[in-house]
Amino acid sequence: MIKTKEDYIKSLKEMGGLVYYKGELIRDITTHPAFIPHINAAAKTYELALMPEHEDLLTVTSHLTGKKVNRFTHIHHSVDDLIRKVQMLRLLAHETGSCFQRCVGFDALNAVYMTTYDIDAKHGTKYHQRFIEYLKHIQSENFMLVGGMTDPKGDRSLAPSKQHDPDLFTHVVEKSDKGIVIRGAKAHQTGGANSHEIMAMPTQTMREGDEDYALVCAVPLNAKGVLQIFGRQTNDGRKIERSMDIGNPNYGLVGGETLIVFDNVFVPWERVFMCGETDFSGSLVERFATFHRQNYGGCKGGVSDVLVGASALAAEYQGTAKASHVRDKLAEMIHLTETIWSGSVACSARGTKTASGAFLPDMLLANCSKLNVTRNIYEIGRLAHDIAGGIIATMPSEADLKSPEVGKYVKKYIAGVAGVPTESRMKILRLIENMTGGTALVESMHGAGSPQAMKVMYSRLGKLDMKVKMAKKVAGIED
Amino acid sequence: MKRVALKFCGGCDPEYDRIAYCEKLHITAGDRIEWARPDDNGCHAALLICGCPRACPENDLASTYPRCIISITDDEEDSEEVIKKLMTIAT
Repeated sequence: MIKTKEDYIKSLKEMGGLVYYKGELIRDITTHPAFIPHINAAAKTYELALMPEHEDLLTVTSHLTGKKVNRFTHIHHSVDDLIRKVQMLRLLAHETGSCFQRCVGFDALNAVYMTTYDIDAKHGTKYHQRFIEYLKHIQSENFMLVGGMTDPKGDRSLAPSKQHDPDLFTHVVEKSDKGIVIRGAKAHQTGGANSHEIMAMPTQTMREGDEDYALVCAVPLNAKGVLQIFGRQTNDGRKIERSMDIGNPNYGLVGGETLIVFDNVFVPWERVFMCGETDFSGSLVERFATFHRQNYGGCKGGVSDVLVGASALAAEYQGTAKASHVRDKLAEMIHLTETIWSGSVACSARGTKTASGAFLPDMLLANCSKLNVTRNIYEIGRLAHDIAGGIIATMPSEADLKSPEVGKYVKKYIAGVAGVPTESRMKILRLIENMTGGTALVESMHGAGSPQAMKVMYSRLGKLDMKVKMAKKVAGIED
Repeated sequence: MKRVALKFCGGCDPEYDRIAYCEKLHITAGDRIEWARPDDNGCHAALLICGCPRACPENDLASTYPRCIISITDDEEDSEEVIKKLMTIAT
């Protein structure tokens, strides 16, 4: 069982698997600078579980075994569980200032748990018991999972079975008495390179004719036929330099995403949790999306807390902290942060019990919470840029700071208020750059679904017909 | 010497440094108190250190330690006063 950070890293080393980065097969991701920050961030989910001051959020009693397990492998059984989940995410973001990746698999476990129960109730299948056995395995090993939802999708106007290439959505290509063979890919897979398994799920509601695409299964990431290609990030060359210019040297920049390819991968039946039940693909997608959108006010709220602190510190280091406009901008950043946090708490507090006994956050409020994140994070970043100044785009490097020739000039001319080392000022400005540029912002926009996906949910869950009735009643209009 | 179970809330967004305050209590208590984990048996009382007034785990702990819990939700209370209270309620 994985308990410590060291256990986790050892498990990744032993697992192997095919991970490519910039055209090369990476033999050991645990020693490669492109991956180390992301591994460190995910490792926090193990480390904090062992700390008395954090175990109350990071651990919980399994409803299956009665044993203490990591919360990231738990099935929510109360509103309190849902709230503690987002509290845990905010805490982890405080520790990392980044994405710690493990929530995606956590959300997949919860969505699949309640949906397999419903499939069995309607179709008389045996998915739920099968899934429970799988979940016990995950809890006892304390594995990290990827929640594999997003397919490449090719031509978005066409159904999966109508694509020019049938593999643009992950699908079953063969069935036998032992299991299935799948082919396809999952894109943007946060934490893929440093996870143990992927829970592949349909990317959208599947219709008649797309039965082979209505697929949920768990695949170890070192299984034969699985390979991953690690994506590039803004300024990722700085990770290789291992310099302070990366901004967040220990935990990097958002999750670290891979394209996971399934090239004729065999999956035994005991790891298959939906196979052809198109009528449940939509509810699975909605539930997974709800859980994942619930998160964002927690993790991005926590990340924003760090950014607010960094902006306040940058202002202090350059002598602008007492300016009224700076104080006002910091207050606005706090307001935006607590707004996204309140959405996550609200959708958790309004969670409901499903037929399986597991709890689901309020769908409308979870979507609302995530849509606010797509906007507020950009505004929080804009305010951070405003406070920090143009120097975050023009500052010399650490190499210049440490250069025997020009270092003295960097120290002299990048200095802020007396008594603050130039290096400290540069570090905090680099952190702001890291947290507010390129990849960091896009992740807040599109992670857990793009804004339009939330708007679609509003049209379905927003009770517009009831609102029209309200307006008519108040206006005294009678049909 | 009294044996006291020590539990923290998870620390999602604490309003003060819980660890620093706890260290202060340890120093103040000296050898008057033997600190234990919350799931250890044979404790006379429980001390719950929370980051804010919501004190999330209070109900969980109440079933194990009825009438002998002290919850800390800020770092303003004098550490000697806290230790005295713990010594008084410990049964």
